[in-house]
Amino acid sequence: MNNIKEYSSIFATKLAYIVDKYLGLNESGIISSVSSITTEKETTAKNWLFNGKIPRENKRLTIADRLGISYDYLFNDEIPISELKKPEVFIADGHYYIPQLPDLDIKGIKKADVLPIQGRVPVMLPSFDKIISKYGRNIYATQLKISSFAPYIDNGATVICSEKLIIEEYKFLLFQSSSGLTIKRIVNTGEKLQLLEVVNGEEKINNLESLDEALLVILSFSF
Amino acid sequence: MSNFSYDYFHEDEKKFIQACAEFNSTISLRKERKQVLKIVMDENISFYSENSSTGEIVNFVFNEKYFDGLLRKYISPEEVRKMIRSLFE
Repeated sequence: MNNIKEYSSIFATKLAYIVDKYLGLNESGIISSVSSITTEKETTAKNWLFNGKIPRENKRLTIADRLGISYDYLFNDEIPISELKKPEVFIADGHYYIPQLPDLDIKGIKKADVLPIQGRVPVMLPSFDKIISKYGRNIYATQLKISSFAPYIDNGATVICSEKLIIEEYKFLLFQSSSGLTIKRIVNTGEKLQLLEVVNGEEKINNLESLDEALLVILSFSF
Repeated sequence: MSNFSYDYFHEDEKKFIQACAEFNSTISLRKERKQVLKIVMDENISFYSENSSTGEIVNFVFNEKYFDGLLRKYISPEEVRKMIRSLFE
């Protein structure tokens, strides 16, 4: 961490560090790279990097998302540069904005230091505070093109899932297979908790396998 | 007002009866072919639909845990799951 180049503010130093180390500089240098990644003008990027300017509040979340880091990491100067945090649930005005990952890569999420995202799903549920205190803020949204667990979770349903796994009966888990995302359910077979999956309409029950590459489905919604 | 009293039932039986009522409400909602928002969260399956005459949002929460908890005493878990699935198909 000693050879991190310092810029005009802690925000600017973090910004340049993420672009340089994780996202890659383009041939034209740091100003052009920051401009390209954040889709802001080069003069704006230059002001951030060299003149101590900080983005306006209404642009901050988008900038953090494009960089693939959390709002808190980028704009809270008390968080050290070395303590990278991926995008998290963002709470504002009674809404919970969930990072959206159209092409969910479960292995990639778990390994990633930075995770650029293109958008967020707004959720307004009174109980979401409890969800966050139970599962943490590493929660993501994706759309399930084909659900192996219809009609509980339908084809095309939006699925909100967490990195933190809490193994309880009735919960759904999301796995990645060669054919895409697969839903399995934790069921109580009388003696122990096992995994139920539906393959070609047939129910199969297996022991709880390695869950290192699974996400926990907190909720799903569909119309 | 109904004279029916729930006092004779145990707490889990009351919950099961409530789950059955929600099951029936959900079936009614689907029969009316209204646009329904379905939210699945663990054992809770919630349905939201707009009442076309009053504009109010109608909400049913079907709690699978209470429903199949007691039912499992009489039929297999697979049969219970099939029954619940038939609700959504």
